[in-house]
Amino acid sequence: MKKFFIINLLVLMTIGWSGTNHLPNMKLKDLKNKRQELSQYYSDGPILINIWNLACEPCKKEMKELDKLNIKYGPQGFEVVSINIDNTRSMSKVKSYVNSQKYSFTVLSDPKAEFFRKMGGKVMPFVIIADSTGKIINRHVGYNPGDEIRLEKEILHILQPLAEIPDSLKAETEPKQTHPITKPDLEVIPEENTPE
Amino acid sequence: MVLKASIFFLLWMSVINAQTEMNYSYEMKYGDGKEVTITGPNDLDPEEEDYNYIENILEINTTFSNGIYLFTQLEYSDPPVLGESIKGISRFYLDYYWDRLYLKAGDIYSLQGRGLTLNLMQDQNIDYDNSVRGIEVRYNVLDNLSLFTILGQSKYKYRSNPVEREKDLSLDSKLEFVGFEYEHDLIGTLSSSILLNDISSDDIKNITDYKLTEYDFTWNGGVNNIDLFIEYVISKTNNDAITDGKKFYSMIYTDIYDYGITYEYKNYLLNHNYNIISANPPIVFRESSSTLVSSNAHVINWNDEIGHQIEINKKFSDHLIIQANTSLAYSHPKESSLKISIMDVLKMDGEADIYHQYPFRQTYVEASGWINDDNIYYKIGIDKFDDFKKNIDNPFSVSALTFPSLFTFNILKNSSVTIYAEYQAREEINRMPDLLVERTDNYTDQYYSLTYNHPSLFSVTYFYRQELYKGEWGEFWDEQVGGDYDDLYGPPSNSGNIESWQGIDVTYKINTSTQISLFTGSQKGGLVCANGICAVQPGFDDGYKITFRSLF
Repeated sequence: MKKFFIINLLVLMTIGWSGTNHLPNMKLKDLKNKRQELSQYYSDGPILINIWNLACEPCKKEMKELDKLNIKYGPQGFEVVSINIDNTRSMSKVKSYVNSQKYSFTVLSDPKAEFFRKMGGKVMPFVIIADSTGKIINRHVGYNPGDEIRLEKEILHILQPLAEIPDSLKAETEPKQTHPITKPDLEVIPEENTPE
Repeated sequence: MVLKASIFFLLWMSVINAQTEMNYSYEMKYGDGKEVTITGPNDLDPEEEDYNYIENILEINTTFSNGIYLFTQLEYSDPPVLGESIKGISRFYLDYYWDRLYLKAGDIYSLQGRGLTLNLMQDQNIDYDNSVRGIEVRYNVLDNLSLFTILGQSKYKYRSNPVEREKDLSLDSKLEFVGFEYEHDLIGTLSSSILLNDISSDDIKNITDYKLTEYDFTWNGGVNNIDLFIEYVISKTNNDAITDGKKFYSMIYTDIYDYGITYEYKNYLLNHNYNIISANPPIVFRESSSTLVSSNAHVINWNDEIGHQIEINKKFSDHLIIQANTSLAYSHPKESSLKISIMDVLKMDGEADIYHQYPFRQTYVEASGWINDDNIYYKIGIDKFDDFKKNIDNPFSVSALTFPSLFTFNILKNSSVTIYAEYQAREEINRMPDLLVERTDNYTDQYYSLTYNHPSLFSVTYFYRQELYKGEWGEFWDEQVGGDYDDLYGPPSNSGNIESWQGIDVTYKINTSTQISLFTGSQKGGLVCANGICAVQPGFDDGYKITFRSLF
């Protein structure tokens, strides 16, 4: 039976590989306990979703930087949505922490970590960047100070029409959809493309 | 068989009719070293044995355009870090949203309320899984009214002793769960459910057979800036003379002048010692990410415990954020002994008067913030931990004072240096049944780690931990010899010993979602945060570990 299942999966993997992934259409509760459709947050522009819990110290450091990005690029249609996956052991303290930090972005709750699992998450912090159609551009695992530079470049890349990037850089800056972007890809985006 | 056949049918129907999207998550862990088992501070001959593991976990997430989602976890672990060897499909489930219907089949992970009755979850770090194999159905009768049910069975495996690497006991569980949830703008969210759980085992080490019935009532609502949550459970078993038990949890959150205040209360009393497999209620005390603070964990008694916790968060500015937390817990009073008060637990004074209710108290205060134009992040804290418990049959208490700190310095070209520095003074008192002190063990622990991070490319961390032990025989032995036992026969044999663990971790980031880490050295077990990721790791001596993670 197991062999049969494995064969089925291999076949499915072969058939199913399309190279593109989209955000799942899920409803998650916000901190006011209201169900929110995830798609509403990327209907007007690209989205950055970060997944975290209270015990994750690097996540908290990253969220401070994400808050800055949300404020900076929000007027251009970009939005940060934060998904907390604290389980029953600590979920009661999430609202207190979030409110005290006065984040500008929306925080949703996923105590069953269903979204995290569907996105292939294993460790935190975990960040997903998607465009306004919900197509996943890239995923980031882990955070250390300085890593936000790369996130900002990726956001800029989605916000800026490709036409504005010099032809000589297009090939190097074009995101590789679900395939992770390697370091040289975005390092070459010139500073003058950064909006004020 | 019917379940698997249904899944295959749905799967192939989906393939025929739909395009698919897939993503994969792969994790490989390899370790080769020694594991040192010390039975206590006076163990002169600690056991050292080979400790090796290799884990390969591939998770495949498949989403069909018609909405069906398939999760498959393939595992080849022989042996894993914890638990028994697995070769093949370890977990799978399929879920489907269709208008008002939600259907899930396979290994069911689910949560109702705060988990007092039902919280089916998996935690690979501690080799825990209480899922059931079966189906879950949720149907939204109205936009604000839903009905749900879970039917399934499982073989729940667990350890007779937490230090064991493999689980040695198991229970067969058959679960039926049904309930409703109603949402209303004015009255909040109401839900109620019934759980029927048949649990049995014919294992010679653990023969048992009981039926558990639980009725769960949950309300979640709020007024102005006050949030409230209440969950109450009536629990019945069919095997005891005293069958009724209860579980109660409540939470209130408010914001007063930008001070976020959360208060939680638990009261669990089941009048029996049966395993309740499906529940994972709130613990109502703080779980720390500090290496040394987390080494002192209160072990909750799910069947008999009262507890309170209050946490306050206040951000004065980016430079100063304060968090304060106090929690306490104790068991229900017995008819034959004095009832202790909350003040007794807060004071933690007079062991003889309060010990019988196993009091626990923990207070933590931290200050954090960014200074120097956001180039330096600091977090400094203080933690006081006191816990009275049983060590096999004898009374045992732990008291610890810990100073955790963390500093991150942004340096040239967006590189950063992170320093963890922690200090702990811990006293463990072993007592005789009449509470006379048998032996006092004093530990002084220091933990340091230094990380250099080159953004988006690599990081290097050096870890160092040291533990100094000083022991002293207690009044029980002094009475036996009619003098100071330490003066006459000397202190416990390992008194004065210093143990240390050190290691280096190098992590190379191949790309944003793929990284490989190499650790070499020794590690004391516990929660370890390095290179931007936190995980619980078992003790490890003189060896190396390789961890590879990739999403693709």
